[in-house]
Amino acid sequence: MYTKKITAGIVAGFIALTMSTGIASADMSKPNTKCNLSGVIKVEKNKAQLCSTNAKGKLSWSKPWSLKKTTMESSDTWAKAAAEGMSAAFGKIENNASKPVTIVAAKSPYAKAVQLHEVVMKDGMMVMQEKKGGFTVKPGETLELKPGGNHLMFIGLNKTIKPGTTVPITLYTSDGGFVKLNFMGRNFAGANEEYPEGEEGGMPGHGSGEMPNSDSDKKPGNHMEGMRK
Amino acid sequence: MNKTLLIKTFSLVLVIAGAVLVTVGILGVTNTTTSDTSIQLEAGADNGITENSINAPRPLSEEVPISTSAVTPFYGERQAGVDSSVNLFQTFLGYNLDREDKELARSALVVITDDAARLTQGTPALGDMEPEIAQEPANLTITVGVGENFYKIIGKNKPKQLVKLPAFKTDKLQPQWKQTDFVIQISSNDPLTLSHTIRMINKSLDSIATLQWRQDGFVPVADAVPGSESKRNLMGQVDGTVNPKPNTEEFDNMVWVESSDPSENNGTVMVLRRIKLLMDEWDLLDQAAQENSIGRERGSGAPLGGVAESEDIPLEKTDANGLPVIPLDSHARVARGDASGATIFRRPYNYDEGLVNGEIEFGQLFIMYANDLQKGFIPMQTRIAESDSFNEWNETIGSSVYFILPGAKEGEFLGENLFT
Repeated sequence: MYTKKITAGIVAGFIALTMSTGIASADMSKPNTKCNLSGVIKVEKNKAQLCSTNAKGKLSWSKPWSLKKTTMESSDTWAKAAAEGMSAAFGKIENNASKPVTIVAAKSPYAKAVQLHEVVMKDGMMVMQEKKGGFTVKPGETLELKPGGNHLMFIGLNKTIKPGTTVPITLYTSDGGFVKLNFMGRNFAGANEEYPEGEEGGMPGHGSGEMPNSDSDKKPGNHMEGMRK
Repeated sequence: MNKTLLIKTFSLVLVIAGAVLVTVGILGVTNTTTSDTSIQLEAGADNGITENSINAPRPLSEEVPISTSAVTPFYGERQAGVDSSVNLFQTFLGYNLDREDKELARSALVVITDDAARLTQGTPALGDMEPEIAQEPANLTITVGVGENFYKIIGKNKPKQLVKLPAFKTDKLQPQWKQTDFVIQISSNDPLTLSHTIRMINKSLDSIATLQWRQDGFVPVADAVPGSESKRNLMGQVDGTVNPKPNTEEFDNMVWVESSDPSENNGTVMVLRRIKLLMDEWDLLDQAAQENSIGRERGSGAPLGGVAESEDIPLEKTDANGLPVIPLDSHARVARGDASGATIFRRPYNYDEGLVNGEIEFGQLFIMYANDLQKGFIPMQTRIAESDSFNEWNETIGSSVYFILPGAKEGEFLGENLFT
């Protein structure tokens, strides 16, 4: 009698676990858009979902939200030319509305994900990391994305960013807005997500970047490897 | 007649004549004195100018203002750098595209335009690591010309004005200075600005095009003769006489292309020739022999025996022996041919090159802009190659021709019309 209850409980729990896992993986996800990378945003029928780490540190999709086109002025927008791996985009984004605007996600056909990054001081070192909560721009102010500061990060390039070509990036805001902006591919030696020899860590979520002329693909601590399970 | 009356009348006449002579003499002296400090160059002006006053040494402390913040507009119907005032330093960068690829050709023009639109206006280029230098443009101009091969690469017919130069008899062309797919002319009054701009543009073109050669030039700060727009070359000569003035009808007719094709309208053709001066051989001549070879006075730039640079060359004038004052094979006369006015617009720069085969090379970048090479330049250069005595002291070691693209409107890139 006792054993039966336990067994039933275990079976029920097992079924619940598999079902919940099944729901999580089957719920509105296309086979090629998995929540396996922070910053991935999928758009379906004018609704968007953002993949990010939840409170438990697990990657999961957000609830879907409705999208409507919006406008934002931008200038001096450019993306660092790169053949594979990671790259970055910079420029000035203005908020001409009367209310603050928060950019929460970005998407580009050029990469698996486009993350929002900040650079902060941690334990005496400059560290780049995803900006929790996104970039908030006050009314009338300009968000400046630049090397060494806030920037957009291409994670997992699908296509080569070539100098002189146009890279589109769509920005998504917390109030459901989205706007497509153009970034010009430009040669740029800096903005590498690499630290000099001997300096490890200090950059959670960042490993070595595959920039042009860099042929090392698998440096230790490459966060891409850790995430692709 | 009474003898006394005769004497008195005669004396009076003498006195009056004397007074007149003295007055004329005083006026004459006064004129000469003032003309030492104000030199008028109008031919035939009754100003008492003598040859000596033109050749007199000029004050060394002449101030020529140069503004580092000065800006030459970039966007417009025509590119800057052709009719703009001459900057002190100019560099030509000759590029070949990395691949014969239309998209690459387009990318080249896109990135150059982006850099040029910013840097010429005193703003840093995108990703510029030296923004402080960019803030001192000093009239920076960046001008793009494309060669025959560029049109081939993009699959478009070249403009009819972009003709191939014939091989001139006296050419001694070296392969290192040969024709390239496109050229970028960069010019500024500030050498640091120029160098930074060269570096920025070259970085921008990495993986798009590769630099084949660079040709650097300079002009003196002061004009050769006050009021003239000519500058001196390395032989100390007044260079640039008989040249149409920018923003005149004569200039427009000679320089700018008129076409129904928007990728050609308001362009022009540039000829860039690298002319090495054989200075050591030139040193063996005395001043008179040098001036005879050119046909002009070195100091003033006037035709031999003349007074002002602007005088027309006196073709018929002969000396006591019945020989032409302006030798038949002198450079100025041969270049002129039968025309009485300007037939080409040139904007030359001097150069001196590091060490080439153990020697410093001194020369001139002969730069000419025209809409019809068959009309002006080709016949002139053919004549020069045939019979110019000055050929003995110079050697053309490089020659290339480019179509200077029309200007761009804001939001466009240079040559955008080539891709529509």
